[in-house]
Order: sequence, then structure tokens, then C-alpha cells
Amino acid sequence: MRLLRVERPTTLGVLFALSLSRDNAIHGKVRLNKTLALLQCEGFPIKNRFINQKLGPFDGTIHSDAEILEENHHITIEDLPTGHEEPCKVYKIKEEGLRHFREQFLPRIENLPHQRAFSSRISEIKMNFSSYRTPEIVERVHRDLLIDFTLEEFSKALDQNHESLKGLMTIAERRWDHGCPICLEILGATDFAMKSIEQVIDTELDNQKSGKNMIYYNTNNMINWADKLKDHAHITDVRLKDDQSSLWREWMGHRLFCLESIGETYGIIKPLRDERSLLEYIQAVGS
Amino acid sequence: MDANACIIHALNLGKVEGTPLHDYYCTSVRCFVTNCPRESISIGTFPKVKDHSNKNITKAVVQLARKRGFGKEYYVMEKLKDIGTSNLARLFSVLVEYPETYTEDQIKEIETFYSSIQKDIGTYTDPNKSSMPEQHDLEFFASAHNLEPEIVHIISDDAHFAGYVDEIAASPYGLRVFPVKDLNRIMIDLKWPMPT
Repeated sequence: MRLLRVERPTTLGVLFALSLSRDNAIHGKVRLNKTLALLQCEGFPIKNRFINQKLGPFDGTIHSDAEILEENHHITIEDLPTGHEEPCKVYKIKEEGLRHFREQFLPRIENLPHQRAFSSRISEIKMNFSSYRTPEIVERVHRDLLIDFTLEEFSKALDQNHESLKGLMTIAERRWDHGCPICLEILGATDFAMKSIEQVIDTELDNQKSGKNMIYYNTNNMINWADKLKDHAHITDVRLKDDQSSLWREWMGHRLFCLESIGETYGIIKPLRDERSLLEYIQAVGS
Repeated sequence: MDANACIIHALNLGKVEGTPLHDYYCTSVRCFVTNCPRESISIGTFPKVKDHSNKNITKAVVQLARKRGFGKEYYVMEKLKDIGTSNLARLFSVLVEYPETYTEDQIKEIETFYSSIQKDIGTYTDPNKSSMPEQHDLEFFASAHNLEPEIVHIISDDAHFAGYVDEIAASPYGLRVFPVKDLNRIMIDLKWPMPT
């Protein structure tokens, strides 16, 4: 009988990243880290806490997650000579790993909300990452997440997002039809996005964690969808999903979901994911 | 059940500092709905009532939340809307869906009936509400009348039913109205288990 090492929740991310990659393999720790950071940014529910170091976002536990998967015969890790002191790690998922992933994890991924938006983002990562070289990936992640910004520049970018969201919230408040679920979705999403930014500015600016960058990235994206929805035609039926705005609503909802996941993972802001956490929140507000 | 009663059932949104964040009559309606199958009584609604409830749940949640002081807590309200919506879906998975059948002649006849009993129902709910029922109320009334049982009970918080309890009971339509606000008393009379 073979003894398997207990897998951590974060090992799911490594399997998913490898399953997305060309030949089911990823060359190098940097590439693996960037893939996982972008997946997290796009709402993939992994609990890694990346930091902006070593060409960041970087999480030192990712390689040990991969080693657990290797011990459990789900993946292989090989050293590829590079001519430098440190060889390039090549992570490759095995057939057994793919099966394990499909059976254990795929149904959970398929149950994530906003599937259309999520799948579309994952497809884009898959397509880009298979054609980009590692330096291009690093460049793109750094650009999108403002990793190389100074504290002052980053703070200014957050302020701009906050202002835009505030403007969109004001428009939504003016147009608010209390029976329209889209109005409430815009107000709810912009409210949470603004609170997330405020939390980052209050407590997160001078630390190394990448959560604040991911908050920036998602609030920036949310502005786009909330802006498209700002002149929506009011509806009343909560079930209505085939109206003109439904795709934009899905994208905005997806960005809210990403902000909630990131806010929770990095301890920046507590989302209201279930009735229990909602009640705790309401009680706090009430007191 | 009419749409208002369904929405009241769904407005069970938790507690704020020990005070329930739900409609005042929510517990009675929930208890009544739970009791019916125990007493071997079929309880259900019509497809259009489901539509109507889904069209009004957002507004009802917002009104309740604002009444309880959540003026600008939009994120909370949005989450409360999700709870209300899923409560409604859960209720509809429990209720029997009755066939919605009526003829235009029946609608006209019921309209005439209402004209004959018309009175001021403004005090029941909205003072500006017309005392004549809307089209969907008439369709509900006719469909309930066309159901198989000789006597059909309507659980309602709509002034066009709950404001005419005696008149409807005295009519030949075989309908009795249980106003939501009277459900506790009715359950006491029936010796049914009460909300704890």
C-alpha cells in the first residue's frame, strides 16, 4: 500500500496551473508562481499569500506544494540545466495527476460562480501563457498589478480607482430603482470595491503582500463593467439573465467575487460569503 | 399563497443584535407553511405568483433593510437580496404548483363581483391603492376558484383579498381568505403548533 502525503488546499492550484499549460508542463519556479498569482487574481480559489519579491508575486510554499504532488505521483519535477548555478525546475503533470484533478477538483471549479466570466479569463491566461516567454509573463503581471510602482504612485492609482467608483456609485444612487436588481448589484459591487481600497490604504500600503496589487487590478476591472452598466434599463425580475446587460452583470459579479476572495485570503477585508458571516457583519454594523 | 405572502415568507434575513431582520409576519407564515403538510393539507401557488414574487423580492428586501437602518450599506443589501432570492427559490421548491386556469368570462364575472362589493380598503395597506383588484389578482382569484377542492383557502397579504375576507367568504366562489396578519390566531383556533 502506498502512503500519500496529505495535500494542502494550495496544491490544487499547482495541479490546475499545470493542467492549463502546453504539454501539461511549466518550466521554472517563476513561471509557475506568476501563473498561480494570475489565477488567484482572476478568482481561482487558492489561498496562497504571494509577496512582491523575487520577481514577485512569489510564494515560497508553491515549490513545496509541488514536491507533495511529486511524492504522491501526481506530477514530476525535473532539473533542466541552464548553464547557471541553479537548474530550471520543470513541473509536469502525470496522467494520474490529471485524473486526480478531474475527479477531486474539477467539479469544485465548475461550481464557482460566474462561470462564463471565469472560464473566459482562464482561457485567456491559458492562451497567452502558452505563447509568452517567461520574461514577457513577468512583464505583463508587473504591468497589470503595478508591482514596480513606488508607494506614492501606487497610492495615487488606488485613489483614482476610488474616485471613479465613487462617481459610479453616485450615478447609481441617483438612478436607483429599488425594485431593480441591477441597480443593487452596481451599488453593492462599488461599495465593496471602495471599502477594499480604503482598507488597503489604511493598513496594507507599506507591506510586501501582493493582495493590495490584486485589489487594485480587480477594482480597476470592476470600474469598466460598472461603467457599462451605469445607464442600464431597469428590470425587476431577479431571475432575468438574458437581457442585454446580463453579460456585463456577470463580469461585474465576477470582479466582486475576485475582490471577496482576495480580500479574505490576504486578510484585507472580510466578505459576506454566507449567511453566518453576513449576520456577524450586520451585528457589527448594528452595534 | 399569493405573492405578498410568498415574499413575507422569504423575508427571513437573520438578526441584528438579537432583533430579527425579517418581516413582522414572517414567522407566522413560515410556521403555517410548515404545518400544512403535517396536517395533510396541500399548500401551493400558481406560476404567475412565482413570477410576481421574483419581480418584487428586490424591492421588498431593500425596503426592509432601509427600514432597519441600512441606508448606505449597499454591499449588505445586495447580499440580503441574495438571501431573500434563495429563500424564495427554496419556498417554491416546497410549494405545490397549481394549474392556472380561467376563462375571460370568469374574469369579467369576478370583476363584476368586486364592483358589487367595492369598499374603501385604503386602511389595509397603501392608502392610494385602488379598491378594485388588478388583472393578476383576478386571474389568481379565478384560478383558485377553479381548483378541485370545494373550499380553497387563500393565504394573502394583498388588500384585494385580505381586505374582503367576509365578502369573499359569503360569495359562491368557494374561497376563504386567511390574511397573513391573522395566521397566528387561525393556528391557535386550529390547535396547530405555534411559532416558538
